[in-house]
Amino acid sequence: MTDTDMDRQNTVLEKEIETAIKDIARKKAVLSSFEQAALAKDARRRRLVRGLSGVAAALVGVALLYVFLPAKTTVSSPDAGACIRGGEMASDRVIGLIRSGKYGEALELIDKERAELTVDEGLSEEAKTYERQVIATETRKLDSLENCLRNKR
Amino acid sequence: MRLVRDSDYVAAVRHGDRKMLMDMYERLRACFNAWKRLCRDVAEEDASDVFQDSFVILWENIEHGALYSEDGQVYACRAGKRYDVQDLSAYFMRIVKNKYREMLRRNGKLPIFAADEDNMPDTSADDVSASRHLVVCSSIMDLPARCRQILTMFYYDEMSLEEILEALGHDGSYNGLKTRKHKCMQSLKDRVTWLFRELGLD
Repeated sequence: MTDTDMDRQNTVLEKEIETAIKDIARKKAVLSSFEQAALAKDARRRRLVRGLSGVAAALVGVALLYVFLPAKTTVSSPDAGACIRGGEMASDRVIGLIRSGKYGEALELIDKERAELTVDEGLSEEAKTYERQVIATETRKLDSLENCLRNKR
Repeated sequence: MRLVRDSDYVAAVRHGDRKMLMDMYERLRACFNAWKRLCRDVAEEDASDVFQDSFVILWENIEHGALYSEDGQVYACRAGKRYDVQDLSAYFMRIVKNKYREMLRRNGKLPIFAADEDNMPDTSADDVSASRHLVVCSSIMDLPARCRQILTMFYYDEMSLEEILEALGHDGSYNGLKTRKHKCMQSLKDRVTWLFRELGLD
């Protein structure tokens, strides 16, 4: 191969390299614009996901409040005082059980105490009549206390 | 929503469809990001360079017929042999992995092996000039970043050596830059000439 041939080949190669460099640079410029667009799209998607997560979290929060708030007032805030006020005739043991939230045990004790409310047969007829009235009142109050406690459970 | 097939992308990009090119870019970017998450040691800047270089190679391959579609099937051509491309993402990821290995070798993090067939650029089936172009492009992509930057500024941006020196923040002297540009060009020519001979394109 002569020097002229080598020069010519070298010139052709240089021209090919120059063309390729320009081609790559043009393509890279296009890809940079794609990358900017893709990044902007990613950022929009992230904002949207963040927004939707916020909305979803708020909805879950509202749903939880809706489910638990009414139940909480019924289950864990027993207005024992209100029941006791209606049942002054209950024994100290029944009142103690109600105050400590042991409603099941209190109900059992109420049943037992109510069963023990009987008229003393040794009393006069007048006294028996009075005692029946007292027992009726006390039974009514125990019934009311029982109903109140059953509603609290 | 219509499912776009790999062959649709290849055909559309071959015909200069910019929208399909962008769709393909986004699809392959998602594949690349998944791979990047698995390779936790890839620096963000390196990853971006590897992705862009790999995508340019893919684009060049499609544009110059090294990757083409026929009857709904995608084919690639290398060293005169045609083979099926079952999955465009897998084909692209092979380019990515080669680029990444090349980058690690350049940075001294991998030993230098002789180029195997997998590292050889794809070539056009029946167009020597297109094949030569692909080989040159592939070799430019394998140049060190500084070399590519200098050559791009000189040939694409048409900057003078004085302007390049200023743009690079006066990193060295004018003569140093001139020598460096010459060496970059020479190493590129040597590699391209060797590849032309290996692939029978000289």
